[in-house]
Amino acid sequence: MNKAIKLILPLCLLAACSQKRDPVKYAEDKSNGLRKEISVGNMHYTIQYKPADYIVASEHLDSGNAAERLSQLKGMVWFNISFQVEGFGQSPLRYQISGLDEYTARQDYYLNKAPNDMYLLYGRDSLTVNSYWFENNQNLTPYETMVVGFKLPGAVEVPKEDLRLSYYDRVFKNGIIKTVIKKEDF
Amino acid sequence: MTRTDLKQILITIAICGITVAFILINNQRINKKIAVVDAIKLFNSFKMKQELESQSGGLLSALGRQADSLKSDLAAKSKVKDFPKAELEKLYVQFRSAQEQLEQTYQQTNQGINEEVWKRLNPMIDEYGKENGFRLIIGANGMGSVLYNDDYYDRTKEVIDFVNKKYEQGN
Repeated sequence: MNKAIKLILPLCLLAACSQKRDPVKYAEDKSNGLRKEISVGNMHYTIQYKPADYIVASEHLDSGNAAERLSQLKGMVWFNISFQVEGFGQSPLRYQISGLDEYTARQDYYLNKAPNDMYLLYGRDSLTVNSYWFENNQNLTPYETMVVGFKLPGAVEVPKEDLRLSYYDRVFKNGIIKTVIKKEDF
Repeated sequence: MTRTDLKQILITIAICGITVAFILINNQRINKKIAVVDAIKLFNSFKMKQELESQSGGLLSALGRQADSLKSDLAAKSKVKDFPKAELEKLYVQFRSAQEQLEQTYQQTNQGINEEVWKRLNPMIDEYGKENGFRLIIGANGMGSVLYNDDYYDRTKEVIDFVNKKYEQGN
């Protein structure tokens, strides 16, 4: 009996260790430090740091294309900033609006101006937004998402310092939203 | 029981008594759990307020420079002999409008910063109170709500450190 346990236990441990972790599940699990949630009043912000393996895994690429994609992603860091109003089942852009003009102004802000209100502190460098995309969900979901990319300074290919993201939400007047992705959590 | 034993017992009882008294006094002190926070100092020391002010500073100084430049232009042209009165009036209207815009922007910015800062500070102060078991946190603002408090109840520094850390970490 003892011999059997001595044989099976190391095998089980080996099998557990050799299992590859799912980058998407790992990054989306708040306890791993790559996903942060911040509430201000009834507005709920979710900031998802997207490491390169997360992006590749979520794009479901084959191994050849995945390698190419990984090399494309070098030198950049990517985030999804989603926001939703708690208890409001529609797009936050529609929350407490006075009319179409206000809705259009909000849409214009998120499509064109929001990147000016974001920066990333990387070590001693303050990085401005390099790539930006607003995923307008056209009221199909109760949240909206901004996809934001920052170019790392110099020849840095993968981040090695804490990432300190700052975003000033001018539409909902919630002040400056900050979060830190610690280098230990990469 | 010898005399030395009796002495030792009495010393032990005395030490226990002092320890119990100390614990009781300390508990009484802890149970009060009231804090006073200098609300103005807290507001001004909150990093988000300082950052919002420095962000709006650029726009305000640009508007200020515009108004100053119109004022100088108006002063210079009003000294020119036979300068058309209609032109001067036009310049004056421009100057007044720039000045009004500056005042209006200043007021709106200040009001916006106040609202945004308190929107963030209030839940953080609640959290500080709950985490540290306070029953009451009084905001002293120099308007007479707190007439006097010594350092015993003052938690301004701790609250400032707490809110700034929360703000920087984001969660």
